[in-house]
Amino acid sequence: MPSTSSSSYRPSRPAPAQSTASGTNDAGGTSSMFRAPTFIRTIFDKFPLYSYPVDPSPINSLDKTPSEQPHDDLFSKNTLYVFSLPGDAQNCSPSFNPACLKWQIYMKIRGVDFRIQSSSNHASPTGSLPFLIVEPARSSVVSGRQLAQTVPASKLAQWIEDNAAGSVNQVSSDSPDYRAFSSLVDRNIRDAWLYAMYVDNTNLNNITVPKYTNSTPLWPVNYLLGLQMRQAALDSLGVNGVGSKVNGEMLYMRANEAWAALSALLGDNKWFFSARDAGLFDASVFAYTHLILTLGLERSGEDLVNGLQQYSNLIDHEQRIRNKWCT
Amino acid sequence: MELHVWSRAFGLPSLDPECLAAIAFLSTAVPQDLWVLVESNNTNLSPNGALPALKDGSRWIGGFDSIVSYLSSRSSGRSDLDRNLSEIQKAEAVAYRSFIRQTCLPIISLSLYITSRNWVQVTRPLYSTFIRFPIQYEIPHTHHARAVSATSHLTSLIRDLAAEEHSSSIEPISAAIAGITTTSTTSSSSKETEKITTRVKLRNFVADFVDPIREKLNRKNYFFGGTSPTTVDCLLVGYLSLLVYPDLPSPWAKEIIQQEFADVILYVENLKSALFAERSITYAEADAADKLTLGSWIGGGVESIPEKWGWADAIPLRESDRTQQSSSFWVLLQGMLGIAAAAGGVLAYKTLVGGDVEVQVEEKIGEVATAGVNELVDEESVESMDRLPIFRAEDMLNLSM
Repeated sequence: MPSTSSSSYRPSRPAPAQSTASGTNDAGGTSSMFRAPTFIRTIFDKFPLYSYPVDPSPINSLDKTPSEQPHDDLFSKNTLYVFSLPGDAQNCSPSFNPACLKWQIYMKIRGVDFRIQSSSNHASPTGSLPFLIVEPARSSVVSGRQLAQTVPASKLAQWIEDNAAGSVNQVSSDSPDYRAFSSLVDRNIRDAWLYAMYVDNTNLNNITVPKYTNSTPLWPVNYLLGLQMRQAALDSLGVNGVGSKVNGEMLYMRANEAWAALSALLGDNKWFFSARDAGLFDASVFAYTHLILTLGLERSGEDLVNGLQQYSNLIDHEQRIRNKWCT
Repeated sequence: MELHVWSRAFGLPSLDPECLAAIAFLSTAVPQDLWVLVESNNTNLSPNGALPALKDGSRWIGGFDSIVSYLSSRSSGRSDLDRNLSEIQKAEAVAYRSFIRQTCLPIISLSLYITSRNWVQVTRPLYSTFIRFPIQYEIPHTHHARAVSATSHLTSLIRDLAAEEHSSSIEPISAAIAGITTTSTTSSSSKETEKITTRVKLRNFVADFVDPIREKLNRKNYFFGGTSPTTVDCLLVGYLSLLVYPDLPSPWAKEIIQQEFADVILYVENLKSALFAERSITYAEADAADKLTLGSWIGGGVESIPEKWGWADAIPLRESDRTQQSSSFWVLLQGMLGIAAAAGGVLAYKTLVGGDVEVQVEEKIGEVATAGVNELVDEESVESMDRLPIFRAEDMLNLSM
């Protein structure tokens, strides 16, 4: 319990002065059996070196008024935790992880008010990003004990559906075509993306590792994390390969096939599935096209970029979303 | 042309969905006298390491998609089943091919390989009927491992399935000894509800794949309507028939589709009788070089050592990189073996020779002592003692013999 730990910690703040006094008393009186050498006692007298201010416990902080809470009116009450560089998180610029970017853009498309927070997998209750933490409305904080609600990625679509006021989702995500083309994005394009970003050593070392290990830029740590990410990507590609040998060119070829199919699906429409406004599918395609076009992939990644650039309507689609929701 | 596939099973021409799809494709796209079906079971033949593989003269093409595009370009479009489709339909074909593979493969893996009663009683023994002795233990194992990785995201469903299977078996011995009978009504009813929830979960899992397909089919004979099957039909009949036709001790997949998706069964039935008819498939024996023998199997295993040991990339950029990396592995291995052999040889020789040198020196000293000092210790003999001891040692051996 955070509350008990904080309350027990509180009296320890004036500890240094007290402990020196009591330490000498004890040594002279009761514990004559064991007496630490003076120099050790002088060292330990210096502790604690620094006492952090007591954290407010998150649940029972009802004594505090809402205005004392760390975020003020400048920030909205919803926080989306994504992979992002700390500087980028301030101005809400796009995440470099497609799964995060998809939801980030979709929430913007649907007009949900939120801010983003740079984070890592370890922060997430499900072990994967993104996730959303919804602070309860202020009135309910005052009136009763309402917890912040955590929405994992799998439930985000439903949450947005319930909470996005004034916008409607026009494309049913249950239609056969929607699911077929989604699997095209999740398989063909994701595989090529994984190969370009994680398996290709140039991009892994120049783009992926610096971005994902931003918070731990120590040499052996980020190197090992890079190796782990690469192995995870290889495993994931192996499962999709179903026992057959795959190579990078094959993956890029499949991605090109997928770009062609998506381009044909989009046609001359503004949004996918001839919707009147952008939807989740547009967001998931944008998440890949935007990153592929802007991250500056090198070496074998150029094949992926060049493959995409043949389809001008997909490029236009990316630009349309970027200009409207990603300024 | 020869189409190399996994052997027939369950009343179908092959036990692998991709092989079935390739058979379906060839039996509609290529006249019967131009191709034969070979049950070689030899994955080493295929350039991508998996069956189906097409042998056209000396060329090998591996994988359903490659076979389809190869045959279409080879026949300048006559074998292209998708030639009458519109642009958007072609895009849909690409998407549905990906969708079928992504959603149906886990269902087949779960039904045939992971559901333990089906695996132990049907699928596992099946492999022994067409693969001979030492290899019949390895191949089903790798296929099972592949199924495990294909269903790794379904842990809770697998647990429920396993629990259901165990609940129908005998009571644990400890309970029997203690005289505890767990046949009370409450526990059996809770088992019933457990069974029902498992069934509902399985139903949703199967419906994730079959429901969109049924909606898209909408009682048509072929996926895109028309009068002839397309590549999507070939792939669908390959995957669906492995759900519908096998007779399994735990037939949940079949039951669910029969109960709820009867029109899909009708569709598969029509396609199966048209595409997998015995008379429309000519079987042939594999060439001696293409047969799966112990030698070729071991050869294939040895070839993959550099990848298994983490020397070569499991997924290189180009296929040529793979051969390059593995050959560099073998060169390095040979080099290291050579160096080790040379070092060992030198070491062995040194130890042999070293012993003799000591003997030689001792005896020399003895000689020097017994004979007069001035006669023997002249310039020459001192020089010869300083020379490499090897020759001296041999001399000594000869002398002592």
